[in-house]
Amino acid sequence: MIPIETLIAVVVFLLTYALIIDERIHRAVAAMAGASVLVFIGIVPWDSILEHIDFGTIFLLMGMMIIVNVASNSGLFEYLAIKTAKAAKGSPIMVLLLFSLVTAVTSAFLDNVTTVLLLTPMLLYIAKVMNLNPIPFLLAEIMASNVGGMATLIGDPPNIMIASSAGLTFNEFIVTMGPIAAVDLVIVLVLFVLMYGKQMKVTDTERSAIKKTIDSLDERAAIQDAKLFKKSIITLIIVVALFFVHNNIGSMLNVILPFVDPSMSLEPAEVALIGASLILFWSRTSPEMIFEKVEWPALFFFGGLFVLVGGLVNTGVISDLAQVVINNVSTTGEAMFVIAWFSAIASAIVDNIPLTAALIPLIHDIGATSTTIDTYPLWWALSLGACLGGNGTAIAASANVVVLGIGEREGIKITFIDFLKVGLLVLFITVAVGLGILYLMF
Amino acid sequence: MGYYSSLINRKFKDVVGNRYEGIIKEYKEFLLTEEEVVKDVKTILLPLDIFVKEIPNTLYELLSIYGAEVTLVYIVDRDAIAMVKEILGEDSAKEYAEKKEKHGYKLIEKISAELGDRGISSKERLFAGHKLDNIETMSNDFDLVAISKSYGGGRGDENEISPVSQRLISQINAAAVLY
Repeated sequence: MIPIETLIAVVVFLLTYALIIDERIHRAVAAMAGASVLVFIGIVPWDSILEHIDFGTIFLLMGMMIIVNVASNSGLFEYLAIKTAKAAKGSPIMVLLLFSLVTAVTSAFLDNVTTVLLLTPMLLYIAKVMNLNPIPFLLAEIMASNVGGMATLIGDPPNIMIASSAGLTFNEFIVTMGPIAAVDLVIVLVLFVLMYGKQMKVTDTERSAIKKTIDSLDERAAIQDAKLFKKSIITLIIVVALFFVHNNIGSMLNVILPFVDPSMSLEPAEVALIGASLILFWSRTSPEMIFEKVEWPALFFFGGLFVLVGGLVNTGVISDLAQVVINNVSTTGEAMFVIAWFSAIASAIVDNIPLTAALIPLIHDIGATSTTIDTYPLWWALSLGACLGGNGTAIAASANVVVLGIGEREGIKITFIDFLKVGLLVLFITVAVGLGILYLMF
Repeated sequence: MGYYSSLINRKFKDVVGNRYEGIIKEYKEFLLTEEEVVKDVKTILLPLDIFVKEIPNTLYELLSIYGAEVTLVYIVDRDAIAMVKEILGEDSAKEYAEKKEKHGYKLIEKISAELGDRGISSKERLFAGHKLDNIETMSNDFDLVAISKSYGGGRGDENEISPVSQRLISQINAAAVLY
């Protein structure tokens, strides 16, 4: 007999999930409403809320949002978009490859949504200038964004959540997921060239005309504030550098400041907030204007989700699921396989953020209960599946929705089936290769 | 609108909020529209006068992108010569005109050499005329006109662009670049 509070926690979670997928009610409102129900009836008591809400994730997201908001005011992304367009020298294939590469690298260090939001208009403009079907370019951009976001701790919200909960460092992500992201990106680009290369052939005259039009754009005109532009780049470099050393910052500082504890480390959230403070202080940008642009709904969405998952934890649902996994899986390799494919396919169907939120305590429970399964590789399997699952369907990740939404507004329709055909192929190949690499590593 | 389209739109609005409109507005400020793209520029008119001191590098770079022939036209203000003649006499007017023409030839030579170094062919013309009317008429035979903000004089603290340049930009039919 299932206890009533367990049933309620599961029903509320599933109902909230359904509302999040459907989005007739804003996802943040749905998550908060679901969380409110669980708090109201005491399934998640007030004193356990603070245990369940991962403030590391929330503050890291907030800090990076502030940095990106200030940087985007300078015209940095538009400058990057024009420079990338010019570097392609009128070749459609090069436009596809370069924009995908720039999207992947930018998504690895900044949030995917802002990256695609700022690069897609330029991509659409270039497709128009080239007089080519923009769909392959948009699809490649989406895939590159999801693959690139997998490479670093800060590239995708699932990674942020996993790192925060499992105590993984920025460098561990770079070393483990970086090579996988690089290989998978190459696979994606090769696939796209094979699938769409013929459509992208242009004559020398056409290429020359395209180059002329693109070259007439002035990337300097995109810079709205030259001083802020430079400050943004410097701040981003400092923040990324700090991420690289966040785990042993104490030993570095101890050399010049002996009172600093050499064993001290900085949480990624602290790095993000330090970067946010730096850019706000240095740029003298109005804090009201920047704080207003912070995606508060997204942060409340995360908060609500953590409470919802906390309800599943408190009622024992997660530990029961963990036991089911342990009973059916005997080795770390099998567990990696299950976690990677389950999270990939599930992420393709439903949002990867709530899925990751639910699987994190599951993996913790597996680690606490099983004597044969090592959880360390499972975190990477989850990261692989949750991030790459975003390529599966049109609604699987926020970057997808943003690019498709922009396309819809410009009259470009990519149907669910159109996306699915490409998305599932990319998903299966990249997850298979990624899992293979993880097996080699572990 | 089908369920899928409306779903994408709902998710887009929730994820992006109002940011997209602001981004498109910023892009429109420097992306050329279809009407503005000058597809085939074969001839460029570059009006010059005493107030145009130099051509910036950015304009040279733009001219070299087009690879079109540039016609440098230096105009000495005919009305100014007439005024000098009326007040100071014919000899003074002749001397005034010669001085202006000498300056004009020097400027044309300098710019022509610079264009030549960049592989751009150029033609030169120098005459006494009306800075607005003559250029307006001539512009009909060119694909692009590059106008200095200082052309015609009168540019100051309160005028970012000289009155003659402002009128030319608004009156000519050819595409124009203001530098």
